[in-house]
Amino acid sequence: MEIFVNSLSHLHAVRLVPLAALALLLSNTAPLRAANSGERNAVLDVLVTYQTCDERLPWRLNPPQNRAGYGLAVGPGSILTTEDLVRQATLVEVRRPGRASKFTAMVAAADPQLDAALLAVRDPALLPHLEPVELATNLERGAVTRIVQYEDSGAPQEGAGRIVELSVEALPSAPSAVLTFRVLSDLRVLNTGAPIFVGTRLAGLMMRYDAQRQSGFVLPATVLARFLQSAAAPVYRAPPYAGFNWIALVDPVLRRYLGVPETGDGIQIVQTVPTASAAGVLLPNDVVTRWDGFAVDNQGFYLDPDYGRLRLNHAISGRRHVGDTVAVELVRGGQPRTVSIALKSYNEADALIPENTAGAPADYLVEGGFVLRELTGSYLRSGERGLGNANPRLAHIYMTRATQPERPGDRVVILSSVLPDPINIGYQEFRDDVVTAVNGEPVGNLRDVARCVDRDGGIKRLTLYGVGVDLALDPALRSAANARIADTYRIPELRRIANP
Amino acid sequence: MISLPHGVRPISLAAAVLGLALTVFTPAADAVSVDRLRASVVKIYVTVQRYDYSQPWQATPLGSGNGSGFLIGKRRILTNAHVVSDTAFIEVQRDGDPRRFPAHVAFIGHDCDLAIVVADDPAFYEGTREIVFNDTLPRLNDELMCLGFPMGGVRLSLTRGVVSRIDNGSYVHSGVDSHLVVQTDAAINPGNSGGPVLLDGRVVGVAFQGLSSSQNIGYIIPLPVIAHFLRDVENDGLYNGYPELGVVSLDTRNPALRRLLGLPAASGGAVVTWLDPFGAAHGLLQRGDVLLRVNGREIARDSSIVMDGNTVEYTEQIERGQWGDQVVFDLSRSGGVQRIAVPLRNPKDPFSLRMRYDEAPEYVIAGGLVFTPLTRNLLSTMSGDISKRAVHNLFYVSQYAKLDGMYEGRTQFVVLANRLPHPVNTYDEYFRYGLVDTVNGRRLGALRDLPEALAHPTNGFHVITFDGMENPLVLDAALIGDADAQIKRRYEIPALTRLRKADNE
Repeated sequence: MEIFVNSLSHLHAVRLVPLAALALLLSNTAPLRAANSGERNAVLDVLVTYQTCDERLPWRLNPPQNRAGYGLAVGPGSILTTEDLVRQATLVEVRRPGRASKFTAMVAAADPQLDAALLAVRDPALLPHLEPVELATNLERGAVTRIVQYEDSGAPQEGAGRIVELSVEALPSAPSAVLTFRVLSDLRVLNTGAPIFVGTRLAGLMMRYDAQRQSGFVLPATVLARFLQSAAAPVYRAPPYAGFNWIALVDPVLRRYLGVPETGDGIQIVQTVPTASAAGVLLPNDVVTRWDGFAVDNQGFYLDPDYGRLRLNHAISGRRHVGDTVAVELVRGGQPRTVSIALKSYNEADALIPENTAGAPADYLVEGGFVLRELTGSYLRSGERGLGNANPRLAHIYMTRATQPERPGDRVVILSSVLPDPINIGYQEFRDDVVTAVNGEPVGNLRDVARCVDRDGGIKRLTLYGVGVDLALDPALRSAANARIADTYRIPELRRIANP
Repeated sequence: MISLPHGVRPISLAAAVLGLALTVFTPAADAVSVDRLRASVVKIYVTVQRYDYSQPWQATPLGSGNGSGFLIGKRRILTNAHVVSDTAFIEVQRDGDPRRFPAHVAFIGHDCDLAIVVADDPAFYEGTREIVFNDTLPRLNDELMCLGFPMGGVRLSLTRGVVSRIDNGSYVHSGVDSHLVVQTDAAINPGNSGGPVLLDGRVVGVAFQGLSSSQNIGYIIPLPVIAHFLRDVENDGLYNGYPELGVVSLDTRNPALRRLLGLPAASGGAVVTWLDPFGAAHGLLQRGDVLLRVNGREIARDSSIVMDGNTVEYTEQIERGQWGDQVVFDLSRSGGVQRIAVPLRNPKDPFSLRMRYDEAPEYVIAGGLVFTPLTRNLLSTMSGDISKRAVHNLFYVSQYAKLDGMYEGRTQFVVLANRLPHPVNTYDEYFRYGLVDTVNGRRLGALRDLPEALAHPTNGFHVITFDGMENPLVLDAALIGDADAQIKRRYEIPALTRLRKADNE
């Protein structure tokens, strides 16, 4: 048995530029052509300099690093690529394969949930002879594809591949599940974003290639097309998100217990996410038998009119848009009923512990050497062994309650570390403790902490979960200590709070 | 809970490495005294059979190994607990004597990794000589001599090194204990375990563990720990173990904290931040108490006291105490100073998560689902599955159950440790390693509550809920009886339950 989570959106840093031209590219009327070099003229090297945030010292950026991949021209100056390639980019440059000249591009839109990003080159004239590619509008198991990549010399390498699997899978760089396909090919693909063509149309962008299995994990053009449509809208439209966890319902005993026939359709709802579309509409132990007109079998699959048997997640987020209302048939307490769910997008800010897939620099507050911040999934995974060496208590909260704040806006505030200074002598071993109150007042998020600090002129008492004595700081030393700490530890600003 | 330093390993010798390398015995200038010591040091051969915690009705395959030991009088051979734990058969052999003599464990202290072994045949002791203990701890840079039978050798081995550190350290055999250790750069290898470490011909410690990730770091159990063990068994003929005070405290070095606690500027003290519900101090000390003196010794604001001219943590006073002793604290509470005596005891703490040896694990099998108490031994079988959410939860519970109040109403945590595949449980693998919360609406306080809870199905179903899992495991109660009979036969299980009586039964 496996718990399935309706795909989570982690839209981040979407910056829009005019994209009116894109609509033209989404036409499905173009005939298939024999393979030629035309579509190859759409391929660009994408060279990225990126900087990750130091999760422990969140005012600090780790040394810049480089990534390289491919992008596809989809319009004048518009280049489609994968989001994880440009994640946390400080500089994005594109060039024609084999050429030396590089041109700066900006990230026009990026959606970690879909692993898709759109780049814009300010002056399309800098990239002459670029031939925008068309996107394939359907996917077929067994279809033969061509994968294209380039040698340093600019010489193309092409390999044939066959689509062997269409499925809704978790992305390699994000926890969300979207429609993907797998392609078998003996071309050893080296970089992310390598284009896969069916005929002359783009079938998808390679996200990962497993050389041992000669298998590539591909983001399909149909998903990319939805991303481009959303990016072309005045405000980016994230995919819909229903916000419930479910499990397959095959066990005949469990089915009887839940009041449904031993055999038949339906999945079991185990939890809903507060503030999400399904909250209060679906309940734990509901058996959902039909979603939006599609019968949902006991393993959570439905028969998609376009792609065949797919996991339910695609019917929720891949076939509908935010604002749509879907009818859901279910059995509750043995009684059938139909409910309506108005689909909303996922707002990561609603989570008790946001994932921060996009790796946005964390908010923080340094006071008297106490480094305070909100817990995120990316923080817990920042150690050498990821969650394996995270603080067990913090990891437990993350694994059991990440999407379940008791009150809207609640986060897990932690004392991440203590920067040694005379003001905090005796406290310097504290690390990864949950902060419950500041100056005697309970705090639910970092904004609460900042409010207490500003109101009281600093932290006088910090209350940690499970520690029977408050950590006290001398207010008379605060000002000098903060200045000394900022200087000693080279902290440009003692706090960063996005929405104070 | 004491975490294990990376790479620390006990140094008993597995049969697989027997004969791989010889530690050459080098006659030294004090060869005469070494010859005398030959009559004191013995090689210990063991046949090991442990319990299999994932299939708790059976044992693991047999293993064999060897360690060292030395005679300390009254026909007693002192060695490490880890050398003789979980053993089916023990033999001892003197250097230069081809005969091996069967032996048995007389006393064992898993919390200090020491044991006393006695040879069954008095003939073994003919011509032996008991070894003499030193009076004091060695000092830094003192030259030490380690004797034993490392790496499978049949002749006595001698290595030399200096004392490179004296500090508190983890005792990996139990997984949770920490006492004084002496670190040396003398070569201590598998098979040295239990051998004497000498200074000028007198024992100052017992070789017991090494650090695999470093060069020439070996650890010795020093005299105070040995003396504590020997006094304990001499007192009443039983080993009671180290008392557990059960106090977590914080230094009061911070002036703002001192003001918050109302401490005079000149005073020292350690403030109590948490009390172990199973510790000796529970119910006597309180959170927020500032411990000012222990047994009349001033506690400095860095939690240290001065003992024997050395600055040590105040908890060393408890380390030196025995079961039945008491420790007296002068403490500041609510603005006044009080004197409180804490009787030192070692309350039975079901959640200490100390490794268990020579103890058959409890289990209950129902519907092919194997339920056992959460133990450190069980956790060690699932470390490869740490990425699973349920396993992560178990590691959390193992460390935070008392700190986060999860133990209340329980004397054990019950885990679904295994699933013996059968049609009755085909769809239940997902729940493996789950921590059982309720069975048929009854919260499990211990494994022994499970049979009673299973006697009351809910509308014909057994409904089992797990901590941190939203959905329950559901079994058809009517099918369990026949299924268990089949499972018992198919998997050759001698009995479907093994339960110990509660302490109060």
